[in-house]
Formats: sequence, structure tokens, C-alpha cells
Amino acid sequence: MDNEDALVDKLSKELEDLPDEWLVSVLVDATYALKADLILLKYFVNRREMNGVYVCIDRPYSYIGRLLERHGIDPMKIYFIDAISQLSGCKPQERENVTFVKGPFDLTSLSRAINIAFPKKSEKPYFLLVDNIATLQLYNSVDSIGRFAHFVSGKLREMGIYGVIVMLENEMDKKLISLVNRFCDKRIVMVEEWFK
Amino acid sequence: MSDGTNLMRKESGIKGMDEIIEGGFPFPSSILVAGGIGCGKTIFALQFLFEGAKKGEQGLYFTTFSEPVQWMMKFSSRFSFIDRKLIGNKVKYVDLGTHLENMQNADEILDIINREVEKTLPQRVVIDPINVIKNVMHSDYRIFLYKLSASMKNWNAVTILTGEIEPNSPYPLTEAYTMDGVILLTYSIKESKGTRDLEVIKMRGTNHVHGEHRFEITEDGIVVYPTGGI
Repeated sequence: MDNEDALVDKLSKELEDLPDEWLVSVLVDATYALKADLILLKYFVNRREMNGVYVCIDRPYSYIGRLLERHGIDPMKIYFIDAISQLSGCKPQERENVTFVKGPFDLTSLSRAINIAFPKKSEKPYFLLVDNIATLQLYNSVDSIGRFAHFVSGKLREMGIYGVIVMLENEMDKKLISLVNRFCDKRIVMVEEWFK
Repeated sequence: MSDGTNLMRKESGIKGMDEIIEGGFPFPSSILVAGGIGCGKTIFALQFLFEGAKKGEQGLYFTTFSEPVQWMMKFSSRFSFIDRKLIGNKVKYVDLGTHLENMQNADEILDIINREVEKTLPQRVVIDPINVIKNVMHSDYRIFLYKLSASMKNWNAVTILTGEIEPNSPYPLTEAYTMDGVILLTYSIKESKGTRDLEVIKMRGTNHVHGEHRFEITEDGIVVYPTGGI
């Protein structure tokens, strides 16, 4: 836990100079993908006391839910959009804070789910975490994913929401990385050294 | 559309092994290491964990109905790859056997495994041996293996499952069908000499070198001598 808190401090420092309602991309070494999720969510939910939306493209929400409880993050502060459970054969269990999308191939439904996930008017700041868009490449063209990333960034700016787009370092198409980074205020690289 | 650029691999930690499997095990993946008695399955698994731990990766070792951890560690301590400083932090041990005695269904056992994995988020997991769980579960076993393999990949780990070979079977069939990779370790008498061979039967996403490769168990652990080409 100590190490996790130190990493949350490190992340906070990296983000402190950004203007409010920032959007960042996080390029992460696949070895540390889950750890990165944990640190990002600890930062938003525990450190900044925000509620938010987590888009699960890589692994079913049930795994993230378990992980959060285990590491002292309240999963009820997060609304999940799960785009992988149905495709991976997991039985989607209807829960109050989860919406299921058919699969990562269905970017239209994914965009629609993001569109309605946030309250129209709120005084409180919210966050959106998209994890991870490298998996979208298996089902969609780089251009389609670029349009999706553009939609996400537009939506966040319009509603004043903090955002993180996670990309796995070794699995991402270079063109897509630069496309996504174009919409972001900062790019954070989380490789082995970052976690030490 | 792209299939992602590169399949990430984790080095096996076994000298000579990675040359056979394009640089390492696909990450994440579930690999069965099967063999008869005394052929080196546990050494293979421990070497995989400790070599990963030396690079800063987290390891988790589940024993099932096998010898208690302290005895296994005593017997293994002669190997140079065992670093006692890593035990309990970078390499954690969990005795599943005590839980298995009171469990019958797949979900209960998976829940115990998941709970342990959630704590430390290991990149390397070992379950040694896996096929004794079949005796506890009976009809659910194949479903259990399928769920276990999927679950460990969702937890972002390379999982080594050791499997004991039953008489008249080339390798544990149920386990082999449900895993991403199968490695067979054999010991046989050739020209009056005991010889050890390793064969990669299956490795998804990998153009592995077919055929048997001689290996030795040395003080530094298992050393594989790759033969032939792909």
C-alpha cells in the first residue's frame, strides 16, 4: 500500500501543472497495466474524491471491481461501461453501476454509453478513464479509433470532465499513439522505471 | 485493422528455453508444464518465478496437494537462482491444499485464487501441481481450467501450471486443451544413460522450435540445449 500511495503522489506531481479538466494519455508497459489502473483510480477516487466512469475494454469490470475493493477504493464511486464481458463469455451480471456494450467492435454503442454516463449538470468534477484503447485495434481501423478518441476528447471538453486514455506501450500502432496524443494535454509514460 | 503490433513476451528464466519460443512466454498466458515424477516440473516453475522476481516482477506460488512449502524450499535451496531475500515479498507462497480440503466447486477455488492474486497483482503465477484439483472437483474440472486460464490472463499474468502425467497418457489431456502452451518434460534411458528432454507441444502465438531438446538440471537450475530449427 505504501508503494501505491507513493506512486499516487508521483502521479499527482505530474498532473499538478495542467489546467483544470485536463485530458492525458497514459502509455503503459503491459507488465504494469493493472498497477497503472490502480494508481489512476486511487488518484481520482481517493485523492481527488471524484466520482467517474471507467470504460473496460481490456478486462471485465468484475475484475476491476474486485481489485478496487481489495485496495481500498470504493467501486460504487465508479460507473462502469463494460465492452468486453459479453465478448469474453462472462455472464454479464446486471448491477446498478454497470452498462454492458456488445464488444469493443461496437464503437457507436460505446460512444453512446459514454454520452449518457455523466449527469447533465453537476457542481462536482468527474473523471473518465478509458482502458485500454490498444485492444480496440483488434476490431477497428486506426481511423475509426481516431474518430472515437476525438469524440471522447470533445465530450470531455464540452462537459468539463477530467480524462485519461490508457494505451499499452508495446501493442499500440504508432500512428494511433500520435493521433490520440494530439487530443491530449499531456502524455505520461509508465514503464518499469516509473513504478520503482 | 491491426492486430496490435507486437505480442509481448516474458522471459522464461530458463537458460536456453527462450530460444525455442521466440524470446519468451506470451504475456499474459497460461502454460502447462507436464511430466512424470522427478523430471523437473517444480524446479522449472521456481526458476521462472525467481528469475522474474530478480527483475522486480511479482511472483505468486500456489501449492496444492504437494509437500509443504518449507520442505519444498529446503530441497530447492541448493539452486543458485533461489534468493531467500525474495521469499515472502517478491515471491509469495500460498498453500491451497488446506482450502481444497473443504471445497468442491470451481467457483470457490477460483475465488480463493483470485483473492490472493488481487492482493499483489503478480506478473508470474505458479500452481503446482494443477491436476490433483481434479480429484476434488470431478465434473467441473474442465470448466474450472477454462475459467482459471481466462481469469489469470485477465489479471495480466503468465501462469505456469505443473501437471503430472498419468500412465498411458502422453500428457494431461484436459489441461493441455485448455491452456495456451504445453511443455513436456521427460526422463528416459537412452544408450544406458538417463537423459532429460523438453518438448514444446503447443505455444499459442508462437512459432516454436519443434522436437525434443535435451536439458540438464544443474546447480543453476534447468539448462535447455535447443536443437534444430523452426
